Amino acid sequence: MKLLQKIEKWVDYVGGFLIVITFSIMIISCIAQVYTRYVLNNSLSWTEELARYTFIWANLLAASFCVKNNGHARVTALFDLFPAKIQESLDFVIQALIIIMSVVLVKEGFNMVFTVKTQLSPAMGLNISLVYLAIPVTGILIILYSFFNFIQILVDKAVKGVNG
Amino acid sequence: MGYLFLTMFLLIFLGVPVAFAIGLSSIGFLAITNIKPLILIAQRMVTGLDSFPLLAIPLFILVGNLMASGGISKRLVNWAESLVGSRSGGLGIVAILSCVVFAAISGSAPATVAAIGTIIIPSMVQKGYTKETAGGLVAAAGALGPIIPPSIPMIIYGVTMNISVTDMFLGGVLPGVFIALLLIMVNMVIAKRSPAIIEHSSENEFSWINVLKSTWSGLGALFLPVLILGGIYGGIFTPTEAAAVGVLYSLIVGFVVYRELKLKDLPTILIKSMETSAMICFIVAVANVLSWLMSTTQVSNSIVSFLMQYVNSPIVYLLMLNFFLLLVGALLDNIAAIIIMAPIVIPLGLQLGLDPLHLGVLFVINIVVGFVTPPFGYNLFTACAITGLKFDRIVKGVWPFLIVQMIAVLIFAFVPQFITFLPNLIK
Repeated sequence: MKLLQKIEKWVDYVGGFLIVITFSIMIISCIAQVYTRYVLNNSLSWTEELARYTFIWANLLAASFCVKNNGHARVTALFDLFPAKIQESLDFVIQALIIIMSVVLVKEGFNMVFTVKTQLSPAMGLNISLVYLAIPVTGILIILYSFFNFIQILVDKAVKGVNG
Repeated sequence: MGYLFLTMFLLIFLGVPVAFAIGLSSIGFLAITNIKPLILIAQRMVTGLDSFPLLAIPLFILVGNLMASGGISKRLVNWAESLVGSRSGGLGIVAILSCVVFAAISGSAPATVAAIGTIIIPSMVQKGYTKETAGGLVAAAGALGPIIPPSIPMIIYGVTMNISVTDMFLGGVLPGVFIALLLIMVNMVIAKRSPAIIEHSSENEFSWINVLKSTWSGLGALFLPVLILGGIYGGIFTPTEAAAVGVLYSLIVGFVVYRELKLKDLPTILIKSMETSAMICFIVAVANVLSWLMSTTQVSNSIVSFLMQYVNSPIVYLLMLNFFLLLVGALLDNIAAIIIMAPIVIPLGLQLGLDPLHLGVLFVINIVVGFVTPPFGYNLFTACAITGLKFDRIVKGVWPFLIVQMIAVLIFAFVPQFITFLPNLIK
């Protein structure tokens, strides 16, 4: 259990760090674009591209954080009507479904990364597979967080069982 | 394809996160029909996000969060209070006015309800408003968030349906102001009828010195909408660039002018903002797979020709659209509603000769008013959380405001000039 918490903390840290970095680069490129166009009268060709790619990375990474914090948009109107027992089992099923989709993301994501490994981006000459790499990485993070959620549900249940 | 939608809605209503419900049903469809290998998922998800206008979403969210941490919401409310707070029922107007200005900074309805509601509702209750009315009023006024630009749903709609985001932003201005005026009128009627509100009305005195003071202290917040909207309409920035400049501006205001922002809070604010953005953008990414499937299987064409048999006049179409979208807005997550429903229901309207911009802004307003509509309206839940009231009590307080909003929506449907006047003027 201790080890798991340690791993989770570490994943949080790395994920958070990457989000801050990519988001900051995205903001700076957008501002640089305005600055070069209106102040220097000479727009750079790569700022827009860099901003778009960091946007993709930051959002996909943060999507895994949403899984961790249960932040993804859900329609709970019907869910709330079910008795607590059924809600519990549904929660299990939902985490399992999330993992299934993430496995597909990891597999097909890597597939895509290898398919485009020779393509370069038009403005920066960046390898396109770097952009697509965000998909499998997100998939792996989501699987990790879903797994942590699983354990959490189990632990909560065990604690409840002990207390009453 | 019918089964795909069936599975999708089944998963959504069982409580599976919307993005995963869309993804899983699309994966299932691809796996069974074999029309394209599964690699399509990875490819379409990246394509779906690879669009410059979308970048405005995390940027505007960040501006809102920076402003909130920088103590801006409080200054906005103070400013509005010094202007109109001394009148009978004035605090209701303060709440609506603050929502209007906050809406011009942030693009989200629940965020507006939370930011303004937490500050204003307690003082409204002190001044004789019932909790129900105060909560209902803020829940309804919060809907202005995505109607008055900037607006996240409008960005999503513009990107999905290929309409200029700038035009949509412009189209939302008059309807937003009109709804705000209607809400103020309802508030005045309620205030006039309530002895408790009248009794408390003479406690605040109006003074020009107060107005000047609070305007000066709120200037940092009040100038931001001018910068963002002026920049967009002046043709200086695209919406995304305006948002980036807004981020820079709110950093300066937060660090240098108000000094309420701390450097060590910045990473947390960045991550929180990106999480909110990801909630939206992950749906956008996954829904791109679905849109591809829909256009490949030509399903929207068959829906259009099916509906054509029954709906053949613009009037019938607009009435049905309003009714349908209020329902969808109240049931479904608003981003998913736009991406899934707009390509299905809007083409029919275009074939009937309606204006694409009119339909677009109308669509968004409808969905947003759905946010205030019981039993599932999201704003209502936010208002519950703030006031601590039970859901049915909030519903009791919101209905007079909701009814005028619905009337306003009908007016916008049949008087398109409300929406198209400003965009046409600028062109």
